[in-house]
Amino acid sequence: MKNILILFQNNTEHAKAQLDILHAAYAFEIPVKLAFCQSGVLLLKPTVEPSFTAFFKELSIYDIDTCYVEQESLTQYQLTPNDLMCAVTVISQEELYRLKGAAHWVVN
Amino acid sequence: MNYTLFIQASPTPNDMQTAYQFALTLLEQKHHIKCIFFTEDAVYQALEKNSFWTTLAPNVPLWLCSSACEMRGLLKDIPAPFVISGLGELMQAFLISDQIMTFP
Repeated sequence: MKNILILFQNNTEHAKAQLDILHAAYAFEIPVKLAFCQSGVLLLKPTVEPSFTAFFKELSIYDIDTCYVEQESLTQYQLTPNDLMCAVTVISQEELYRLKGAAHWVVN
Repeated sequence: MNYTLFIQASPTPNDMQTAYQFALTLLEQKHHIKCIFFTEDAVYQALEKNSFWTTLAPNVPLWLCSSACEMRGLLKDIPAPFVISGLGELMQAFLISDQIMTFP
C-alpha cells in the first residue's frame, strides 16, 4: 500500500494545507505518517492556535499513534517531548531522512 | 513511468520554471504525466497571462485546487486548459502514479 509522509517544517498557513492532505488521504485509507522539524515542532505546543490544538489531540481518529519529531529541532526551540500535546517519537536527522526515503510521497 | 506533479506555494517564478522544465523532460523521455496539480499560491502563477503551462495541454491535464482558488477569489473564469479539481482527485492520481513529485 502506498503511504504518505507529511513533513511540517514551519508553523505557517502552509501547515493547514498540509492537514487538508491528511484528511483527503484518510478518506482514501492511505497510511500517513506525520513528522516535524525546524519551526514545525512549534505546532505541537499546546499554546498554538486552537484549530491545531484540537487536531493534534485527536490524531487517533486518523489511525496515527505517534508523531515523529526531530531531536535537533526540539533542542533548537528548547522543547522536550513533555512540552508537546501529543505522543511523539523523537528521531535523529538521519532517521528523518530514512522516513522520507521510505515514503511514496513526502508532502513538505 | 506515470508521474503526478504537485505544485504548491511558489515564492519565485524560478521554482515554477524548474517544475515546468522537469515536466518537459519527462515528456521528452516518453514518460506519462497523469496530471499537474496546482495548489496554494501556485494557482496564481499557473493562471498568469501567457502562462507557459498551457503549452503542455492537451497532453497533460492541468488541475487547479478548488479550495486554493476559492480562498483566493479565483474560482470564476478559469481559462482552458486549466480545470478545477480537488484533493480527492489528487489522491486518486497519487494511487495510480508510479511517482509523485512535489514542488517546491
